[in-house]
Amino acid sequence: MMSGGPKAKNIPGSFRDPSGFLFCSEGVVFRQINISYQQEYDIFMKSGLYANLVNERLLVSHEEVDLPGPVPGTSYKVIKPDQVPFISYPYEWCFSQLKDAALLTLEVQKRSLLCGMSLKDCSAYNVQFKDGKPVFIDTLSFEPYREGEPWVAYRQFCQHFLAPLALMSRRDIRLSQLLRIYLDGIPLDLASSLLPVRTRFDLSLLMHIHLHAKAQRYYSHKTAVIRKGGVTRPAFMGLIDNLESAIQKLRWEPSGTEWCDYEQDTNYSPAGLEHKKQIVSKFLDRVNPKVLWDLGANTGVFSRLAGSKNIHVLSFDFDAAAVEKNYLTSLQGNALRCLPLLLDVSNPSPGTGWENRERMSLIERGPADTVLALALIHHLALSHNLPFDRIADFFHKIGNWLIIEFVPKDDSQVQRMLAPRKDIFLNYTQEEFERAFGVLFIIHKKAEITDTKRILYLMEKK
Amino acid sequence: MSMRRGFFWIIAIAVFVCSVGFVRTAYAYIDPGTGSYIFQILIVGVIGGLCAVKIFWAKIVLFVKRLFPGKRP
Repeated sequence: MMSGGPKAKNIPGSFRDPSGFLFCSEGVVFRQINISYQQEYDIFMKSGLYANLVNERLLVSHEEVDLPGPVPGTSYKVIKPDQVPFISYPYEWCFSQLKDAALLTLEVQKRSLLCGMSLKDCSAYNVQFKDGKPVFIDTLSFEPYREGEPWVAYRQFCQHFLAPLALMSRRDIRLSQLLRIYLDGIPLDLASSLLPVRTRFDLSLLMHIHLHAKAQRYYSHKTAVIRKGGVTRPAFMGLIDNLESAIQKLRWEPSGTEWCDYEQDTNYSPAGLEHKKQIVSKFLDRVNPKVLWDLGANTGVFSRLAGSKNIHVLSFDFDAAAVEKNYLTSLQGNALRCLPLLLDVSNPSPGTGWENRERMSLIERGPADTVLALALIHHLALSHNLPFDRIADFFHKIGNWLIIEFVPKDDSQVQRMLAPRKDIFLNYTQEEFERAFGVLFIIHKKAEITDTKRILYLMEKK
Repeated sequence: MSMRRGFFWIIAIAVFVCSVGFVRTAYAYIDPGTGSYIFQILIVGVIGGLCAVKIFWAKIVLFVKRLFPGKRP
């Protein structure tokens, strides 16, 4: 039975931790701390660790609220964490985002040890991006450090962070998508078999992935007597330092992909690009959205334009190199209202995990106030054979307003796409585009872009 | 002779790394937690040793630099 104030709703992804859970009441996320976690929570707050982590912006702050817990008889306290505007998942992060999340987790662990505590789990889902940077969100992940005991979250850290980063760095950047299948991180035996032979000569990867995987397999058939007190505090710190240097060493340079070089490869003249920016800017001023989803954002030029207007922007692209560049550029330019994420619009993140509800689909995390779809329609219609009415239907589901660019058939990019294949897209016309979108949207404005045959539309959901 | 010895060590290390480093795929359900726990107890010793060497190595480098102050960049 749920109490927790009026309209308290359970959050489907929060049920594994016996220490407490998240719930939502009137659009605000709260966390119940269970009586079973009372002692640990009090130590965490009094040890100075909470203040230290919050001051350094490593952990989301919270306030204790006078609200009954949703499950009567189990609640010690209810806290209201600083709200995260958009929940993203590790399989939607680029290389540097996952790396920054890993380093954040290790930094949190190091500071915890200095305050006599330790992380009891190390899930990448405990990290979210807020104001452009990673932040730890699970207030219930801390437990008192017990001298001599190994780190219980070591395996999880290797599976959630080290293995995917090593695979992305040393094998193929696209292997991050294994995280979409393996929600508890990539199994180490799988990572070991996929990594190239040369990684066996990298001491950290040899130890934490290859030999670790072998040990898991070896001990799965053995009954072992575990000796307590085997890991001293300096040895524990040494392990964390070693993991940190292993993560630091992993690098990936974004280059050479089709989309990463797209901006240098478009048919816009400088005047055309400037005109396009002006039109988009004018449309954004007209709608004044709080949240914008930029689909097919590439390296995020228009996302940052929107971010400069204090709009919270989710900047999606399916190319890992483009997202990586977008993230690094946004960080360097302090464009903290802009969060680049990896997403294939033709196959967006589904609901996964227990009952398909543990991790939300993209649509469940919407709708956005405005969707921006620049230079995208021709890829969806011509490369993915998606009819206009199906595209309009999807945009109708995910946003209240739509700024969309129509790229006609005689555009050089479309010509290039159609060159190697038979043109079967007889309905790919401006008239048919306006008809299909006109069923679900009111077309408010329409503007041709200088030096191109492309047209920008401002539409509102009917 | 010393080249032969160097070659021997390279081969020996390669054989060791290959023999312990390759993992057969486990298709059956196993609980990887126990192995991780025991493995961690084993490797912290190795890591501790490496840290000691690292510290020791830094001290040697510092000592040599002090012996040849003119060679500092």
